Amino acid sequence: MKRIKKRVRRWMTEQMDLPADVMMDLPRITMIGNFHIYIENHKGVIRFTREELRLRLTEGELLVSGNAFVIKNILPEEILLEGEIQDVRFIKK
Amino acid sequence: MKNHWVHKLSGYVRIRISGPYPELFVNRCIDSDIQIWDIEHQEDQVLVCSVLLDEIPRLRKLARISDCKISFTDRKGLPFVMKRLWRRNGLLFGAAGALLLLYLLSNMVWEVEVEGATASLEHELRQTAAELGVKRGAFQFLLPAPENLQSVLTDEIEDATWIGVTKRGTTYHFQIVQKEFAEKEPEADAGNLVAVRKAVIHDIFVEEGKPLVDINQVVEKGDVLVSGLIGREGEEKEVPARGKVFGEIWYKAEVEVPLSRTLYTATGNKYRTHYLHAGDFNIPIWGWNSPEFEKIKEESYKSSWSIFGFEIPVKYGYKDILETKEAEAEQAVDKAIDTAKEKGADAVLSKFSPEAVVTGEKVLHHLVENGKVKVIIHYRIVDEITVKQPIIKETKETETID
Repeated sequence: MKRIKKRVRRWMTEQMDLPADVMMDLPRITMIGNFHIYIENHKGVIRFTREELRLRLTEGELLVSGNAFVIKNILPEEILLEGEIQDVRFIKK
Repeated sequence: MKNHWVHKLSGYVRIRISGPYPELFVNRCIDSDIQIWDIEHQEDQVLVCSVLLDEIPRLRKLARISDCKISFTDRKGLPFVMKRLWRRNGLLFGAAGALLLLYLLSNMVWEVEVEGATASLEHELRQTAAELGVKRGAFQFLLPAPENLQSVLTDEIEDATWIGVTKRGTTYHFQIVQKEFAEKEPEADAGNLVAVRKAVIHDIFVEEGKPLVDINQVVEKGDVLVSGLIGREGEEKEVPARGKVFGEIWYKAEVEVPLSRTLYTATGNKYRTHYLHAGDFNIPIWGWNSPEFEKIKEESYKSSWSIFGFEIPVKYGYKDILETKEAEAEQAVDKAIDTAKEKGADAVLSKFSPEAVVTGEKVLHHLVENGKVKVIIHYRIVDEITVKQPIIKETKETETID
């Protein structure tokens, strides 16, 4: 059932030209240079240190690594991270 | 990004979250809509973040649930600034007091200036003003407006025609226009008015005294015109006779007027020389060889050019040399007599008082002689003829002797 739903969504996204992040509940990541990263549609912080930020997503996790991280702002579905970003990686469960 | 100045206004704190899993606390905060920002990782199992001051009570519960300890590290924003200021409230009161004092002192009357009054009037004005409250040390906001002061003071002080009141900062400025009393004439001595010369009375105007003459009466020099003795006969009172008596005087004058005058007229021949004037130097630029005229008259012209209000130092000018010739102008005898009349009248009037006027003139005789007209003119002049004279008390004395 879940799989069907997902398939329908994917199909709709492809056919109707709708933004993928809305339709499929995917994170939308915006980076400004390497010192600001803005992540929407996250599901909570798993780990936060000076060198890494691990966020829960609908599916899997997002790992941002770098130096001197500060969470400038955090809201239920958004997060703004400041620091020297070196790597953004999706981790599948 | 959120506006941080809103946070600064309502006040916020930095809190230190320590526990086995501080991220959990952050997540819980987000879930329960608590604003949280500037999260930093300080050391292992310790996060530092900023939270609004109002939301602190809710944090404790969340901390308990997520097995964390929270402690406050820094207080920021207006409420804390106020608190800190309050701790130095002496300074605060001092500043407020200074402002208040400044306001009060600048609203005080520091000076009352009086202009245009004599010492006594100034004193009176100052006293009246002080009664109305205008004195050094009074508060301006308790005083009536300058316009009202002005009307009240003008009413109150009788010796002043007008008092202008202006306020200049902390100074009240009174400007007084004093009533000017006509100077009393010194009590004149009793006396008569007598004639200074022989005349026919033309007009009488008596202010005080008893007129003794009538119009058209001939008076001799020294005759009493207005008597200083008034009242019933026997009980006369002595007063200074005042008034004006105009008499008509006849005067004969002899005037001589020349019949011919020498005039210079231009013949029409002229020669123009052009010049440039630079300072005091005149440089002729055209017209070098002027013809030689027997009698000449020179006329010159100088331009003045200016640019933007500045006069140019170099000027252009020219000089005209006009040939002239002498011409004898003969005057008709009639005209000469007319001029003689005017000249004579001027000469005659200068011998009388400034009030004198010529009322009539008549040419008695004229004689043409050596290019001159000799005219004898008879003028009728009206002039004031009175002079003051003390009353002679001879008669009284004789009475007392009797």
